[in-house]
Amino acid sequence: MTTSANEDIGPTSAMGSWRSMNPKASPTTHTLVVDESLRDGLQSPSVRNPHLDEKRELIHAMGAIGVDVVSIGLPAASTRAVDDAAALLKEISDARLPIRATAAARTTEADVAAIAEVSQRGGASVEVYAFIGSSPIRHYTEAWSDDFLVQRVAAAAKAAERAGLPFCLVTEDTTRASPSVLSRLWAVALDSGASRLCLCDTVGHAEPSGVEALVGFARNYLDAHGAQSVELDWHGHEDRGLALANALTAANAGVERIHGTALGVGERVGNVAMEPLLYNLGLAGRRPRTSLSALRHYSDLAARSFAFPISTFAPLVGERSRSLDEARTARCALAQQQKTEARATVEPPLEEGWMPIRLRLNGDNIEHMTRPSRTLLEMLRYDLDLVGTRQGCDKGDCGACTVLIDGEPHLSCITLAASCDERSITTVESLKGPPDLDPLLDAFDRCAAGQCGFCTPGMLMTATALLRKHPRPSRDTIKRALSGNLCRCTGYGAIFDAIDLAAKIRAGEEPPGVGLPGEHVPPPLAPQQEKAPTKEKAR
Amino acid sequence: MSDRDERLVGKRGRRGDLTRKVRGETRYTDDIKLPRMLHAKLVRCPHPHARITQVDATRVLADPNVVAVITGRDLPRRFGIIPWTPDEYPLALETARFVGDAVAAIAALDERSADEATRRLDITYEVLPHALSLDEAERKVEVGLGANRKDNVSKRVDLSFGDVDAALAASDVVLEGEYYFEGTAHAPIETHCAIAQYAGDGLLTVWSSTQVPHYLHRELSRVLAVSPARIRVIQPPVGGAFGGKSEPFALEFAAAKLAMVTGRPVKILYTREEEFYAHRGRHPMAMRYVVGATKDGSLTAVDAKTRIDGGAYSSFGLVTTYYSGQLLTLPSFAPNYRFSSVRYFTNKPPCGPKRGHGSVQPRFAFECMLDRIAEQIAMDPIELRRKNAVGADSTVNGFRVTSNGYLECLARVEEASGWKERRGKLGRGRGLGVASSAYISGTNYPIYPNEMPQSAVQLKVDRSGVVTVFNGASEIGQGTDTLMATLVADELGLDLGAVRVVSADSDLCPVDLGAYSSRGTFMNGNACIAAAREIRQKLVQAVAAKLEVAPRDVFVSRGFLCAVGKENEAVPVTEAIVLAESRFGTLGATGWYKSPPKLGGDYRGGTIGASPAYSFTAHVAEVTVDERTGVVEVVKVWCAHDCGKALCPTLVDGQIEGSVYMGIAEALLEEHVIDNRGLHRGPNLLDYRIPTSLDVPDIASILVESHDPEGPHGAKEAGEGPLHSSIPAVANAIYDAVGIRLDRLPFSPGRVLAALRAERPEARRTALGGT
Amino acid sequence: MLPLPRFRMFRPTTVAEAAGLLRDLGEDAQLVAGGTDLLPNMKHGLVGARALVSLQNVAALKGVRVERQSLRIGALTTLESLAEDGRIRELAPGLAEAAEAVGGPHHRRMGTLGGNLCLDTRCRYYNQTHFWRSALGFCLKKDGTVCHVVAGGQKCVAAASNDTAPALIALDATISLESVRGEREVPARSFYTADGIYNTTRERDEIVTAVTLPIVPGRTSGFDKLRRRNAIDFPLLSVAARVDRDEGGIAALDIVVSALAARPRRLAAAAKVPPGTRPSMDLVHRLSEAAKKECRPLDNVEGDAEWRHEMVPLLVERLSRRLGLG
Repeated sequence: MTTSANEDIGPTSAMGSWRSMNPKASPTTHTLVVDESLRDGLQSPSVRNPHLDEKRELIHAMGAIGVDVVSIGLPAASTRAVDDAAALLKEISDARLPIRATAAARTTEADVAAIAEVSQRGGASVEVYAFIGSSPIRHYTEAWSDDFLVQRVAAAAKAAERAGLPFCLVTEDTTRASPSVLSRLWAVALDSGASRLCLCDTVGHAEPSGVEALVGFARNYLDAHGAQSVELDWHGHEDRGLALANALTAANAGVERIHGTALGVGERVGNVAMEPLLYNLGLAGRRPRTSLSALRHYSDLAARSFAFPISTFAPLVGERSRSLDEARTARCALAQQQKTEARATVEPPLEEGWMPIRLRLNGDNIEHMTRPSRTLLEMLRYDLDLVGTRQGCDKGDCGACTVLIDGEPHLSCITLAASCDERSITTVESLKGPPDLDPLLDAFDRCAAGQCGFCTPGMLMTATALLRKHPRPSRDTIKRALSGNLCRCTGYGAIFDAIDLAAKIRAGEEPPGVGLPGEHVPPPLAPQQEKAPTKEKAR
Repeated sequence: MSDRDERLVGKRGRRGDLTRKVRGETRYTDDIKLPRMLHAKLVRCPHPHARITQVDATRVLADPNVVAVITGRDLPRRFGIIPWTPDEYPLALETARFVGDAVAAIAALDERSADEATRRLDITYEVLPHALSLDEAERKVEVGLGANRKDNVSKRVDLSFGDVDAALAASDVVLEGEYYFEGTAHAPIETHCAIAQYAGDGLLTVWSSTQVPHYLHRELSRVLAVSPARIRVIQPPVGGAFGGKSEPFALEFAAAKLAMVTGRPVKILYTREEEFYAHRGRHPMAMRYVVGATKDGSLTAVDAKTRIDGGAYSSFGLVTTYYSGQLLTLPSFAPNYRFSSVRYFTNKPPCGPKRGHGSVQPRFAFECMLDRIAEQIAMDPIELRRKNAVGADSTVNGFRVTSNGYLECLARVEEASGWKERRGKLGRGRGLGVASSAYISGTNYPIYPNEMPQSAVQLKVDRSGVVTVFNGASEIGQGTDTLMATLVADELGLDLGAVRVVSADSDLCPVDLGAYSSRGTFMNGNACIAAAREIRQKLVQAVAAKLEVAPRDVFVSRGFLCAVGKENEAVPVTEAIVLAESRFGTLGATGWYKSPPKLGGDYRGGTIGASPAYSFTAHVAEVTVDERTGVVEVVKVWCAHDCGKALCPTLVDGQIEGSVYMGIAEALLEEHVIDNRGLHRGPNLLDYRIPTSLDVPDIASILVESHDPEGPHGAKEAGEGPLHSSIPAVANAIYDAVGIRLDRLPFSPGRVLAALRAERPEARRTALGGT
Repeated sequence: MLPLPRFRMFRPTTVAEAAGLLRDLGEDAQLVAGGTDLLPNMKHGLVGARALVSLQNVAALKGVRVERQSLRIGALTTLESLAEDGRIRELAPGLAEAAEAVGGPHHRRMGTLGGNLCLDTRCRYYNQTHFWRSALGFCLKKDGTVCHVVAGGQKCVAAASNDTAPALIALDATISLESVRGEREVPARSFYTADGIYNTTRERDEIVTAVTLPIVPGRTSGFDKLRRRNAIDFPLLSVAARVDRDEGGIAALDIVVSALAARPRRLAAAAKVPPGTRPSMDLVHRLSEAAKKECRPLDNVEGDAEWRHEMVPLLVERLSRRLGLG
């Protein structure tokens, strides 16, 4: 449904809304959204790595739906990843998109260096998102000791600091990590200059209540270490179908940035889908609302670029939701159908009423009833059949509709008929024809000052007022007076000549009617002779 | 008419038809009001490329003011002005191909109800990939706008004459140049309008502001599946067209179908915005030219590669693609020529013919190249053109030239502009530029192959002394009605007041193919003279009998026929008519014009560009360039145009001045741009800027008469020719003024400053306030 | 034809009556005087007014009066009469020149000072038909949630396009407003806000009744406008300036640049010029270069934003030299 984006799918507000737990509490924090489509999204096996041009188009689409932060990839993955990331960074700055860029890295100096290279080539800062496994299972499998983890985090953070890039520690599988491990990792990250911590529900393990607990713990930890300025990210997955719920909970809990991907593309079952995330954050008032049509354009573009079909039942962007909109519209229409049986029109148009006006129209005193919303041009042409006044643009750009009101040229297409009450209106039909042809009509025809003749009525009325004020106007005065009347055929020169000639005819310096036809036409038929009384007797 | 001074032809007369048009006595299409007339509006697609999956009119039909809704399925037959590329539906059937493409039409009791209803028609679209530029059209083949759906190619033309590579190799100087001509629109002050009436007797009458009533008549029959004998097409006076109304449009079919469905007259009037979606304006062209010459100024070879952005449909595109190469080989050219032109479809309003169809863009590029060649070999640009003037009676691509006033055109503008004394000597910031061109006087072959005349006239002679000229020609402001009256009045000694002209009514008038390719004067003029001469013969015989002299001794003068030696016994024309009617019976005659057979080259496409005669033009433009603001002002333009014979000099001057105005507007101001969403940047007359009375140069139009052997009294075209070289003349004048070569239109202040910076680094300082 | 929406119309004859109507009609009402800005916008579906209150017959709003220290101009004074009135040409040439630069001759004859003061801001994505805007997906200023000038931007940057605004600010004018709640005076300097959606501090139910300009001996002013055609076009850039001189040299200086975003911008560099400064080319260059840094035209109106930016210093320089600063 693309013509009017209907915002509300749920029960309309008028019927009471159970949408959020505390509808009254107006959210203080403005939640930012991070688009991970081009990083986590590409790690999904069932997604094609789009061409660079398609990635550029996606970046613009992300801007159009209001995404604040975009991950431009994992540069260390390949030289192509570096090139693409640098190109995307440059695209963001060239197109002046209000989007901040981040890039992913393992906690190794080489990975951070790759991001630094992208930042240098792309000519803008890139926030380093360095990830490290933080759950015991990972440690067990990788046989990592705590010290090894701490040393890796410090090294990566320091490398970022040296490159002058902001650093965010991404603790993979945070929702299955022990508080002590998290504290140690966070401590070293903060000490090494991290400005952000990303909490990850990497395998979709958490439930909303768990998210609240984890965010609370992280917030308390930061407060306890005087790091209130450090911000939190939430990155969740859909394995148990709770990704969106968890994301909204994290937002409500004050997490500054929430991650999502187009159509939820991502590892395994995928990430939080960007479209419902943006839409719901908009409804909750956490950020400005995004129009459905923009979201659907974004998802269509992503579907094409990633060759990842939109699932029929995907909220908002799936075929079901789109046809639902249509059905709902049709249902509305059908509902209206029944309603309109009772009432004559779709929604009752405002009853404008009628306004009596008295005009002196081309010398005649007339009375006329008009609708308030009727323009003078519409009244003249369609109600009074004075079709000499023409319409070229109907919004005051071309002058073809010029008439005189109280002797002064006006644009009748942007003059209300009702505002002409008690005024005198002069239109081209008032210019006298033979035998005493108006000098302007005479001169315009003689100089071919009109070719198609469509702008000519407007020119004639402007010229009529001009000659009344300036009987012998200079060429510059003529040009200025006509500068609101556009002509496409003549190049204006013949019009200036004709007005000059008309002035001379009026002043008696030039003979009127030169070259008018009729000089050699056959004479009138002789009058019938009075029959002399015939000799016949009257019968 | 024997003695010169009494003839109207060649004298500065009046238009004659203007007073009735301006006072509303003669009605334009939108002035027509019929009882119970409905108003309809088109519903347009908001996407650059989309498949229409569902149309739900429930909400629309719920409004009692709405009477009927039709969609593409109601008119499922293709049409197109060029018979080989019929790729349009009146209302998009499956896919809409540009933002603004018509997909439905709604008829209502009043225009506001129809307008409001367009916002309630629920249409579901499936957005498709789109291409919005030449580069995208080339690269994104998956958009599949081409006929084969595998690419976006509309038409490809590759032609070669002589041995270009050898000639270039042998040249002393070979220059390359890349040029881009931005698309522009016609922007006539009257927008499209059509009214249809399906009368009680089943006769369908369509009034339309069109340049081709005959082609409209045929396509209405084809698309509506109604016998042409049951359709009447009337073309009221047209409020300007310039090529924008020279094919059938959606509103004509929609109005006709709605009239047939509702049984009531239906009117559709386009808004100014819709005029930009109907478009058919100048094709944007990206051109690459290679021109070779010897150091003594002989052009050796021209090699051109042109990419054309055609927009969503073919329109005249097949012809445009040929014209982009074929119409360059006059007036000055090389003996070896090769051009490759490719027209692409894009998801933008379709381009078509605009004044100087298809040959204004290449002319701009080529005339700029000539200026650069002249500078390279230190030769005066006018001399270079003289030296390479095509003197032979046929061009390198096989077109016959019957009359050629080119050298006189060059001499007249050279002299009038003080070229020799002033060019290069006006000081920095002021300059003179020259350019020249040639153009067709009508296409030699009709758009649909047939052996019938291209133009025809029927005269009805009335015993009251009135002669009525029924002719198919389309009066669109260029003055064909005045021309017809003048020719008949001269031939029969009538006062113009005794001649009526009834034109462009398929019931009343014989066929003329329409007002396009500057064919009006040449073809309708000849038809008119032929018919008038038949009547003249009968009048002469009747008067000869009365005066008892031999017919060859009778001559016609203004209002009378006289015999040599018996001037005092002059017979008034009306009496001559009565005599002739008494003797021969009711007087009437038809006259027609058929273009000469077998014109053009004998190669595929060799007929496209062939014309019975070619006009010639030379421009000199004087400009000032403010190096700090980048603003170019055209101070004066001298234009010498060889029109064969100026039958109505007042009207020829009008065509020259109108053409130069339109050229200067394209050089400095106009650009029809579609942004990267597929939306027109400014579809109104405020954002699409055409010059006001304060933005035009002084124009000196100079009439040159080369007396074409086949033209009516020697006349050739003047409607489109005088536009072409006004644009390169401005470009070359800018070079003379400030030494920069602008190769991209329009020459906006921003582009001028950028070129100045690139050309002269210290220019940066002066342009930026001297810091 | 671009049909107007339906509305009822009221033609009060006094300011009080008009103010009362505005109060009674509430959200639905819209004032109209010349209509040259309102009616085209209504035809584009940008103003959904269901009632128009015409000020055409409110005689009190007409007339120009020269008082002791000030010039009082009625809000209904047409732009044409502003341009041709000898008193205004002499006492406030900047305002006369601004009025003369508006649109075409017919617009200046129909348009009023009050109307021009409250001109709606303009943008390429806003001043279009409903169809065009629906194809775009609408914009922040009307029916949509996204700005297309600054992708994803959340603040409307439509351009102030009224020529009289920069002139009145530079001339230190005061704008009189009246509503049922009484009268108030607002200096032109603080009449405009940076919100492109509604860029004046006029309350919905207030009527601009007059503009008052102080008469200051030794004051000169001027205005200049950048546009592609010499008529009809809205400004791509405009600049107004006021110079007060006394025997010590320049006593006070104000330069205002407009057609950037929603609020005309007073050049900080001009305000900072200390009293007693002597006119010099150096001063002019400093002012024009400062203007270039302070003013950044956006891609909101139909014109090459980069070129407009390059023309900022040039317009300021040319006007400054015309007013004798260099």
